[in-house]
Amino acid sequence: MNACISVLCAWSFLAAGPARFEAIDIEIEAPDDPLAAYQIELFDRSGRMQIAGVEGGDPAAFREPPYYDPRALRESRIVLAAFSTSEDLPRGRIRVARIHVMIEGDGEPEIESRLVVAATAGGREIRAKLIIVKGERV
Amino acid sequence: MRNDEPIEESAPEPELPESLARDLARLCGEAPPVPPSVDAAIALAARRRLAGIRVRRRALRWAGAAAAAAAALVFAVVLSRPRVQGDIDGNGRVDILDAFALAREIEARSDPRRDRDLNGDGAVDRADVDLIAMTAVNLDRGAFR
Repeated sequence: MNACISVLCAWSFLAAGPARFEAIDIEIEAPDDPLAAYQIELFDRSGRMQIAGVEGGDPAAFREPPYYDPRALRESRIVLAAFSTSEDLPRGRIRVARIHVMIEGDGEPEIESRLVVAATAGGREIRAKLIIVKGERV
Repeated sequence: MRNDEPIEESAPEPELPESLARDLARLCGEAPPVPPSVDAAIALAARRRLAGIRVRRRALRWAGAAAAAAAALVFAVVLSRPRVQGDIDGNGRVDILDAFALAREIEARSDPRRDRDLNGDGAVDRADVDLIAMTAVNLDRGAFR
């Protein structure tokens, strides 16, 4: 039985072609107010991409990995969210998280993303822009 | 006699001379005749004014009743809306701002509200914040399902 599973796994891997790992940076640009909380959603429409891991971002306020559903690992969709009650909040263009993904085949994933919400200290929603930076091969 | 002097109670009431009293009675006793048309016009104006007051009163009463009914409806809708667990800011959805709100509440108060104990462990703490945040990022939610 185990041998059968191994053969099937090997066959599915070979059938899918080569796979590569990449890092995707999640950045939020909050030009007017310091960023205290965010929630984003990201999805690969092509089905080639699997999420393999999640890291925190650059500023101290978002250095810890954000909240995410563990089921997102090995899926092509993830919701990330984090907040900070620190008084030292970043502003401007901020790398808030990084996700590691496995991409099967030679094609590129078709990533769709949306900023669900961004807020400043006190929970007030702010104008912000989500930027997805693809490409760093690992 | 000056006006500011007290009147003695025992002082007799001054009486008018009889002829003057008769003349005054003749002058004031009979009202000048009012033509029926003037009488009718006055009555009509009075009726119209009273009718206007009645309409305004009725409108005010209806407006008050309508406002009370609207308030009761809003109250009923708010009460009957199913409360989403973890919806701290009460906007009908659970997102990271709810977790953020509870985290700030816990930091600010020494005794947070008991109904914030979402995991039922008897304490309102970071575990409740995490529970809300994990609800917010649950894959069963979101736009790209």
